[in-house]
Amino acid sequence: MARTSKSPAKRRPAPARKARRPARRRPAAAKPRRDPLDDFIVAAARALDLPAKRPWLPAIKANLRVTLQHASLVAEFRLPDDAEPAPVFRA
Amino acid sequence: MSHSFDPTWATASEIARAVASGETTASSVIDATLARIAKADRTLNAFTKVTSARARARAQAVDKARAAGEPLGPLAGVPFGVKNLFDIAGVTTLAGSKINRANPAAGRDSPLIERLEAAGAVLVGALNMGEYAYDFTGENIHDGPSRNPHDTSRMTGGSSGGSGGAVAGGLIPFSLGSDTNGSIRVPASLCGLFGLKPTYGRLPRNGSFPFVDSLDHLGPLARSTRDLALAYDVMQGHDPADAACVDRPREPVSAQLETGIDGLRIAVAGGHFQQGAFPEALTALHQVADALRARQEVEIPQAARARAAAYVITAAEGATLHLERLRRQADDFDPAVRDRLIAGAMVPAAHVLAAQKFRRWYRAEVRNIFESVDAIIAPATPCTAPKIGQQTFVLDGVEMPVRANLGIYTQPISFIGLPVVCVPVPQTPLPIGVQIITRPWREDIALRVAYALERDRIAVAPRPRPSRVNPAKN
Repeated sequence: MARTSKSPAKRRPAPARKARRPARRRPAAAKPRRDPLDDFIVAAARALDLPAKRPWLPAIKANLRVTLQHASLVAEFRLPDDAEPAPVFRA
Repeated sequence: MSHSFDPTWATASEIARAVASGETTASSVIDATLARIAKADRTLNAFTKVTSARARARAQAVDKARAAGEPLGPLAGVPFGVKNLFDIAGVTTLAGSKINRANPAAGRDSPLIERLEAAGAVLVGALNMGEYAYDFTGENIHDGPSRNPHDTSRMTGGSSGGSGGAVAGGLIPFSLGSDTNGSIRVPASLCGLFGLKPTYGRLPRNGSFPFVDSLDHLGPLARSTRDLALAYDVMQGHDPADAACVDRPREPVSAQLETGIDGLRIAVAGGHFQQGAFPEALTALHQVADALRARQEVEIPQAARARAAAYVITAAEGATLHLERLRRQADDFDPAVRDRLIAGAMVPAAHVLAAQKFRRWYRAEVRNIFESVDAIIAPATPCTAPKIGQQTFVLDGVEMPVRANLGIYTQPISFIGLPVVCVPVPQTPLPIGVQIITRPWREDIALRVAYALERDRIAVAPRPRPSRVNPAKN
């Protein structure tokens, strides 16, 4: 059976809305900001096909955070553009 | 023939001498060793595999050779064990993991085992270790923790935990371990042993399960400097199967140990290497410095950054090695190792390359220091052995994880492949190690300094009190 619907013409008109007082502006509730590292871990796990299960995430995050802190310490040290990485392939 | 010779606390050189002279036989030594392992390892949990039949056959071959008047090697009849990441023919190479138990047995011994046995040594088994060597504690979720013979409620240090516990507990006179960031030197320090991490590229690593190719080293642990040198001498030699192994002549050091240290310029590492150290680590450092009359202090530039770079490279390379295993068998890893490896897989390549660039810069800077000094001494670990299961300790007022931070003083050194001998300084209640660091390819200097310290009884591998080693296993 075909679905039936009421004709729009038979709809009751919507009641007139009471004019509302403008809402008092309240300071925005402190919405917990999502740590971008959480998003990164979830996205990286998906992209790399790694099984980062939910209960593992806090430990993965803690480890990654420490590693990135170490990486930042290294990155802060300015080296010339022509600095070469340590491993050198010998043909 | 009298066989009253007790090999339990004998050094490798004493055992080899006794076998060569006929004071005892290799078979007697191995029988006594296997009996000792059967008894004491119930407590120490150092061995994951005891190769009894092979050891007895090998010992009989040594005895037969002596009876036939054939020349014996410098390690004739000397028992030894290897961290279970070394290939042993007929045994599956575990590398401390559950996952590798499904692998077929190794087809042949690692070259280092072959070279030691060619010198007369007798392999008696494979030793416990932290999973895939990503560990400084000596704990293993699959095989149980290695236990420190000086206090079995405490860590051996890792990841070569069984290699430390077996030698410190008098089960064998020397063992082999691996050292990526400190895994020979940390257990040597916590167990009160001499440990040698040779120059990167000195000893071939083929036939061992890798961790971080850029940083992996192999080397011995022993209760005397002479034993380190004996094992090191026979293990040297190029092997093209290891891409990092450098083709250079063997440079034996045993004959040079007694040369002394006159004229050597020895300095103490300051800065990073004394920050966060517990009093016992600094006491040991000062004892060694005083004995060596090392008055000069040198600042190894950017050592903390070097440690950070080693940390990043380790995380990324270690993760790369295990990526497929993480995808297929993540639940079979030790969770503590798994979570570090998964995090390591997510480190951006830019950070890894920056760390490798920094590595080259740092190497050049440290080489400059060795223009004016011959050896640098530094603590090996910030503290004596923590309790098994201890998760954190306080370094410089900051609570830090034990597992990742026992190597804060070892990582900046292995990062650029410098040779190091860790010497044990006996303290009450627990020993602790001091590193003797030299320029690349000068293991001889580090071993000469260690020998001088041992001769003067500053560096001694202490025997644990008997009650510590022999109680029944809980």
